[in-house]
Amino acid sequence: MRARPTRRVVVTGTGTVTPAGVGDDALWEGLLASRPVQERVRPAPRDAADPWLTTVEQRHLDPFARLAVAAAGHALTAAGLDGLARRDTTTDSATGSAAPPDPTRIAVVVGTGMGGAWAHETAVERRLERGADRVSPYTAPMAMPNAPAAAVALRFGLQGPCEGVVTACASGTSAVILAARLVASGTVDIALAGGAESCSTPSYVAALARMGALSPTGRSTPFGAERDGFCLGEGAGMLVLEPLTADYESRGVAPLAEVLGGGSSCDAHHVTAPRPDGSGALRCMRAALDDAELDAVDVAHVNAHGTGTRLNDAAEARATAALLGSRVPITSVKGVTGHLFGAAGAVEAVVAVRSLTEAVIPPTTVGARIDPAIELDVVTEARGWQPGPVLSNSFGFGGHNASLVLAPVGWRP
Amino acid sequence: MQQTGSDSFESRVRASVGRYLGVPETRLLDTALLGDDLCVDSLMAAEMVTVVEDDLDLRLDDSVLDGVSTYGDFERAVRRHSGVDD
Repeated sequence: MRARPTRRVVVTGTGTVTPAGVGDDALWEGLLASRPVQERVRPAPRDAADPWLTTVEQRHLDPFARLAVAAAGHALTAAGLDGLARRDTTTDSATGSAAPPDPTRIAVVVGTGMGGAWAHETAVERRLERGADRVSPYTAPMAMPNAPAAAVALRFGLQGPCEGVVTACASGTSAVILAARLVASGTVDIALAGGAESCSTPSYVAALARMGALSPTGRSTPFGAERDGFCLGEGAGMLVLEPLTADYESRGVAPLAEVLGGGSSCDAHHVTAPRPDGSGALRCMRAALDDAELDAVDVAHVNAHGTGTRLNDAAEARATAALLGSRVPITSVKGVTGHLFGAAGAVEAVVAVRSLTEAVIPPTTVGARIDPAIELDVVTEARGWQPGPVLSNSFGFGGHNASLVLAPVGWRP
Repeated sequence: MQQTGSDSFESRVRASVGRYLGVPETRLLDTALLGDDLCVDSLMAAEMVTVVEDDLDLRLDDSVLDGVSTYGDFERAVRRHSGVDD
């Protein structure tokens, strides 16, 4: 494991499927309109993968893998790599006039929290109701947590490192950090990274409700005084990462943001509850800033984990205030997207990128008022800003913490 | 008495398989190879058995696929194992 020179990494394309709709524009519009989830459980559109997968292919993929393929298709298209998505191989160029990328040097890293929950639940139901010989032989490849990464690689012919990342609700962020390191180290030329989740099965919904994590009112109000839990969403987010020096301009693409660094930590405190003082989250954010070679004063915006549960928001607010004080505008998108679990960090990274390119911070659906105990500058209406480094945080069950630092390309203190 | 037309056993198997594979029934020729012509791998073949079982309300054991290489083989094997001729 000899150290390699580090290359700067940029985002050249993004794609999402969320309860707000298919594609980044639908998500952004929903965020700016502060359109709330308003349901305890809100699936993502199930036809999102139709442009890329046949009916038969989709039947053999759990919804979380189909969502990943759809988000990847959007991201590749945005990055000018839509040629990779074509099934017509009569043209050998994946990039129009530009030289096609070497598929053996393209990585896929996709996180998930729960894996193929629908495939698993369906198999159990069929075994109990119809017998063991009626269980689908596709159950294992559909339910495996690496299924989204495998499906994306298979569909787009990507043959470099291909891995699934599992850190519960931090999975999407963990995946982007791992992929960025693959690009930075020179291991690959391009990485497609993100997260995917679809776990609104009757069993998981029942279990989350019994945990007290799911909002009984169906209102997700992160950092709000009346917050009572999260709404469960489903979706996927993917980002295309490349070295700053790559020839994306020949594809007509400009870099959207730079990945400055990432960090992670574990609370090692309780399987679901965060450390009340937020110290695990604080160490994670500091690790990310160290990796990015930034000081806390450089952080211009925080895209919070902000689930809307009482304990998590309180601990996150404590950690964020300890690091940054109350001066930095912070937002949570989960009132609009629902909690996307393993996809959350990836979708929120896409939102952070969009905040940079649009110079707008989308609002948080806090409800009637912000919890007075939250001593942060919670953004409640879309706000213009001078784009600077964004800290995108994800904190998951198991005490997994992951933070990503994104910034305008070429940003300097 | 054996049924004919759209209600025949064979036509119901054919309709079920056609739906499952997403192909027109006209492609389900007696000589069509499951692998090379219809792109049915071993996992799909196993699931295809389950789909036909569900659609026709049958019970078939796993040996139904033994020695099957063409669509015609499959259709005849399903008939043989289903007991409709008993």
